Amino acid sequence: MDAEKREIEEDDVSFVARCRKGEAEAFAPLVRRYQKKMLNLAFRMIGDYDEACDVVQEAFLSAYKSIGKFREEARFSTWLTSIVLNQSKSHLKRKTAHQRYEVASLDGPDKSGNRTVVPAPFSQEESVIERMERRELEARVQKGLSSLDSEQREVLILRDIQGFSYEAIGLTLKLPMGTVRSRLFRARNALKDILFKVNEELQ
Amino acid sequence: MNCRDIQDLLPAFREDILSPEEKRRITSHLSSCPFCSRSLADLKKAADLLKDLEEVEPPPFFEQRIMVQVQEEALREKGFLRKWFLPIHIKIPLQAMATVLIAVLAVYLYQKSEPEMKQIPPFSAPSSESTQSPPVTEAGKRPSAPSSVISQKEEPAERQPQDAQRFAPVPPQAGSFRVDGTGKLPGPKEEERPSTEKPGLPVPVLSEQEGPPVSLQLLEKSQEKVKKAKTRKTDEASGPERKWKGSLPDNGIGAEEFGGSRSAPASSRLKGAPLMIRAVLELTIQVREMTVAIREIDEVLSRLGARIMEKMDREGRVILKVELAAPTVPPFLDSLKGVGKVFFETKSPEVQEGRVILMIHLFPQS
Repeated sequence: MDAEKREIEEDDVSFVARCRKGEAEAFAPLVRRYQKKMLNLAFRMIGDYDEACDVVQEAFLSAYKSIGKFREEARFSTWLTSIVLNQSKSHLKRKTAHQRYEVASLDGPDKSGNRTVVPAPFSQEESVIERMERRELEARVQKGLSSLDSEQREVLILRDIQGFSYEAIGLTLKLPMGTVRSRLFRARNALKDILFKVNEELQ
Repeated sequence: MNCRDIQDLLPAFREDILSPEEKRRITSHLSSCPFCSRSLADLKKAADLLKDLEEVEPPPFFEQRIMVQVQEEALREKGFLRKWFLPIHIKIPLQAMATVLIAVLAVYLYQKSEPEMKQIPPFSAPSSESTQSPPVTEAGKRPSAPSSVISQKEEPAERQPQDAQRFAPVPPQAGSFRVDGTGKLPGPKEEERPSTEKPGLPVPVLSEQEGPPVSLQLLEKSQEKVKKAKTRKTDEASGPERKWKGSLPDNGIGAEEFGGSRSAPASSRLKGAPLMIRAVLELTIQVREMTVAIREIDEVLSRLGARIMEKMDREGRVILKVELAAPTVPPFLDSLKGVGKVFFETKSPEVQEGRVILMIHLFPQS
């Protein structure tokens, strides 16, 4: 597994080198290799499939444009991940600003309602086998994720969805490991609280 | 430790990174607190939910869509490069070439126009016209001036005496005129030659004085021209100026011109005439067999690194125009003796450098 990873990394580096020489086609294997991972990352960050697609596309393009800035010490995947995360966050910021403006408009439809997560009681007894239910469940998890602040969300996604190591997360987000860990724990608790409504009185 | 504190530690508890003391305390709390136990269970559930989230698949042709954008960007970058940087590789040489071309053209044009611009200097040498004025030759010479250029120049000469002095003799043209003249009018030339040789005599002296070697023929021609101009325009002042040296103090303007342009005529002629013709030499050879003689001459020439430039057939005679480097003239003349009997029409010029044109008249022995 490690050998395979190393091979992929070396592969990445060679493709990046070719891109730097102006071989745009050498970027295609990198896109092929990482498109799904990046799309899922963006999708979990943004919560909207189409927007995530746009953001990932933008991120790949921006990665290609700034491929000269990519330092070889770093892994390409780490570098690309941070680009996708940044693009996702700035997309969300733009979107939020846009929505706030729209909300302020009295005539416009109230879109903000959709975004507020209303944690509903979730019982394990409910069937998760049925597809519809599963979809709903996933939508709820996604809503839960979306209601976290983006700093917590990205750590949670990287660790609990994408399975990054603490070290990789630290490298990607340029954070010390301790910070990554504490942020992750808070994120997990927050998501749990969102998904499984906490009874404050049960103290 | 209240439930909130415990719950904050639960994620770390799950990862088993707490100290044994904390772990023990949490374990004991969990056993007695259903709420916190539930929280722990919810944490696990949430983690499972996240883990079980289905991965979304990229839309169809996602890679292609991205790559289209990337390729466009690459093209734009290339276009940018081409627009701003690549041109420098092409533009600079192009501009340099254009500059060189313009410079070469300018020099060429300048050089081309130079002989005319520097018409004035060459006349100082010919201005020795005043030294001789054998009126005998005039009558014969006048019709023998075929060059329209010369005749054009003669018109102002008639009007303005001083200008006439300046313009009348045109050495470079005179040279060509000589060639033409011999070609067109061989008869009269032959007749004139003896007479022109006399006025030609002082010329070598002059050329020695002047420094720059002066073509005998050119001088002859220029003398003729000036004579024409002079005699026609009735310039009385020039009459007494028989001697070159004498003319300098007498003719103020002329003297200035002579002084100022003494070295100029030769140099300008050298520049203006690309072949640097310093003298024209005429000789006649009586040969046994025309073709044999021509072949022999050609062989001699090729040994000297020259060749017959022009061959003119004139009523059984042949006139060869030959151009030689001055140092090779004596050996050439020597070897001509093997070809036939040589008669020198003009005195061999004492020219050490430059090129000499020889007009070799061949006529059969018969």
